[in-house]
Amino acid sequence: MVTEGGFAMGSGLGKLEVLLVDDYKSIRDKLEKELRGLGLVVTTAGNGVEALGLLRSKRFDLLFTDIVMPEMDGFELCQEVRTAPGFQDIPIIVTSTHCDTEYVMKALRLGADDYVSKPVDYELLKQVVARVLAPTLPK
Amino acid sequence: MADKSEQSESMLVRSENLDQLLLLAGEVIIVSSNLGLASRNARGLFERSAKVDRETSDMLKDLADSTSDISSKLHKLVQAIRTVELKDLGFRARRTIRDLARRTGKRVRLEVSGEDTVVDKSIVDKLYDPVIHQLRNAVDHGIEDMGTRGRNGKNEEGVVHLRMYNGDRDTFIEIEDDGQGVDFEALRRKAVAAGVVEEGAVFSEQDALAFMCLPGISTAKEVSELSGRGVGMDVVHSRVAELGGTVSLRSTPGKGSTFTFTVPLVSAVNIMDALVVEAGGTMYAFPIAAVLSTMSVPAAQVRGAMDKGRMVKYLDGYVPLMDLDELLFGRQNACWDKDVSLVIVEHKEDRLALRVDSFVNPQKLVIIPIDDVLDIPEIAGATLLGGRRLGYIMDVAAVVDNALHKKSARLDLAAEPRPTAEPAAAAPSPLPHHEEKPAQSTAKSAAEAKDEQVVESREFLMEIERLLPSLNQALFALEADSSSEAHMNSSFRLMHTIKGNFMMIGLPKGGETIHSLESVLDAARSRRIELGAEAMDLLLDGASYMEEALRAKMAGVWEDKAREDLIARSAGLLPAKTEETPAKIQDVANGEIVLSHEAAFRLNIHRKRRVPSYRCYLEFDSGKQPPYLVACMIYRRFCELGDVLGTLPALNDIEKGAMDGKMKLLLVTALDQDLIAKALESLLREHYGAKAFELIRVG
Repeated sequence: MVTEGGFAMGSGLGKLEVLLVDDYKSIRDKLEKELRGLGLVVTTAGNGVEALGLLRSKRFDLLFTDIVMPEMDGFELCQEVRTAPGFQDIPIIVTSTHCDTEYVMKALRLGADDYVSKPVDYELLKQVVARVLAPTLPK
Repeated sequence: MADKSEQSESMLVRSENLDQLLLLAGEVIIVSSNLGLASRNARGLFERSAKVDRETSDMLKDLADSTSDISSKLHKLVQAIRTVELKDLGFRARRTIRDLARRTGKRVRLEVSGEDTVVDKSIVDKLYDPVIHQLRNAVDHGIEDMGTRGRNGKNEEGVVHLRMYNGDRDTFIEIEDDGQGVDFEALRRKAVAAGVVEEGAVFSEQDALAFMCLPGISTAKEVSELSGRGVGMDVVHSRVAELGGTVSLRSTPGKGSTFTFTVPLVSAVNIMDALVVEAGGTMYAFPIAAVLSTMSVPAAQVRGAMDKGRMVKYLDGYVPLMDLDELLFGRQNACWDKDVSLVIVEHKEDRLALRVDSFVNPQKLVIIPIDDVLDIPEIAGATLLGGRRLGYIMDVAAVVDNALHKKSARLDLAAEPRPTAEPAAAAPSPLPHHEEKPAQSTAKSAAEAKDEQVVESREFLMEIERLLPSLNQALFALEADSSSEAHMNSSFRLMHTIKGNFMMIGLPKGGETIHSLESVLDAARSRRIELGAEAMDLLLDGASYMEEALRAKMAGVWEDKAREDLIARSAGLLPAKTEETPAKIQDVANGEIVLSHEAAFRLNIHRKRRVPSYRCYLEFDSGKQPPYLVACMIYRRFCELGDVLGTLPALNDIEKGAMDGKMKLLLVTALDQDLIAKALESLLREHYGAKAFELIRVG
């Protein structure tokens, strides 16, 4: 489904699958709604461990994760993803409040590609998702 | 403001209760469909002029039984939903005592029991102040200082008990201290001096309490900074009384005092027993508790004429008599020469007889607040009588005051109540609505978007309400075992999530304040600092701050402000940052990239292997994100193409914020120059706000 405000993913890419990871349901629900609004197919997980399980079970085009979570936090998740065989190359967007620049810098060093602050600004989210999916060199 | 009142009406509901509610709703549907069947049967019998058969009669009886069963279940369930546990009060009490002990230098231990005691949601918030104040009194005026306690053979550590428990209809809250007790003799002398009691008269515990509860009376010789802030027993007493509760006192000089607050378990405001009357064609309900008597007297027993004020004999005196319809609406249609039906009501010392047309049976009523609809002080609310007719619930205090003390002007007839108003629609909806909208409907109306925002914001607010008790619990656990990694982690995560929710409800300054506290916990869990008493004080003060902000925000009176004192205390606890001067914005256009030793090594190897190197200069507009973050993202992109040997400003400085949207990078790559120049330029212009881009081969 291609939405008016979302991505025109008409170039044979099909639906893009995003894995959304956040430990708080209310925030996760809100993010899920926003991501769906962009025309993405969303699967959710409540922490890093769950997310890794899902990443192993199917292919995702994008990982969108909170940083502070129980069980396995966003730092560990980034590290695991970048060292695990099979899905090292998945783009990762981390999200946290604007106060958390130290966490964001750490997450970037550990393998995250981009960052959106919470509460999420719809336009910015669209911009960040678009750029993280854009390849550095044309294929 | 719509959003204010909606927020103040929301509450957390346990999901089991909702499940039960759903089950009951299911039962209602079944009963109603059976009722339809029974009514068709009965109709058929009636049309054939047949007698009611056994089947139909049994069916109707069953239906009547189930209906009454369901309604009583529903009533109980709604009451249960409206009750909340007093956990928060326990946490607040602990923080208060902790704080007081710290400031008075007394040693005090608080024992709390019965935190699972429940009270009506409408009462709980109003209960905090009087209880907390009484706890302050207990420490401030009750518990003696350590020296005195030692001299009197008492343990130096004073003990305050906060006991909470439920009775059948009431909730009890006891605050007991093992301090010096109430000085009855001093109080008695004061009371005598004030002319409240006579010298030599009996002066009981309850007399002492009553005297203490008069405005401006306090036994403390000096007004203390803590409890003597002009809020005395009188305020405690009146706050409890406002909730329909009472205060009682037991005290033994030298041994200690116990104050007991008794408050109704269920808010009396919503369901009440009432006497229903009709006057001037309208139905009115009087709360049974305020009605002394109903009677019907011959016209001859009414004394006085219209202008002089009528009186009627009641018991051994005369009571002023007024026509209810006339009192409310100024209509003089009453007939005074037949038997007169009267309701005698009482408020405080005053009695008043009201003439009505007729009495209807006493019944249980559900009150629907109508403050905004009708501005008549004598009318407290509306209710549906017999399920159909709208009736008004009288505020007896206002009726009596206005009738006897002539405070009110006559009401305008235009304000006559209109039973056409749809009262059910005025009833507040207990739950936020969830409306799943299809993703296509991106063209939301502004009003819809606003509604959605209100619902969302309320959800995050309720999330904070749900998380705060857990945070309190985690912090107290952490205080008891300040090296526990588990407690540190859970406190940290809760703090972080609450911060996120503050941001979500549009309180970024509050969020920043909480962030400073979170940093303290983060430093502790990564073993950069030890959590001492000072840190725990700070964290608990932080919890109080969040609670205060939450309550005020819910009441719609919170203004987002950073708490500089908390932020400063947090900063003071964190390890002094290696005093680096904050990175300065540099003159990138004219400056040169400085290579680290490692980078200089690598550059020479690249040259030896004849891999070309490029210098890129670019300017970008980072839009809604801070420039230094976008600069880091751009740096990542360059790294994908080859070896980035250095940047200007240096990456270290960029991370510290030295970035105004201009940067230089030194890239070594074997890729085709044309290809990377084109690809980078279009990528950076399209996605990273690049305005100027230049890629020059330098080696």
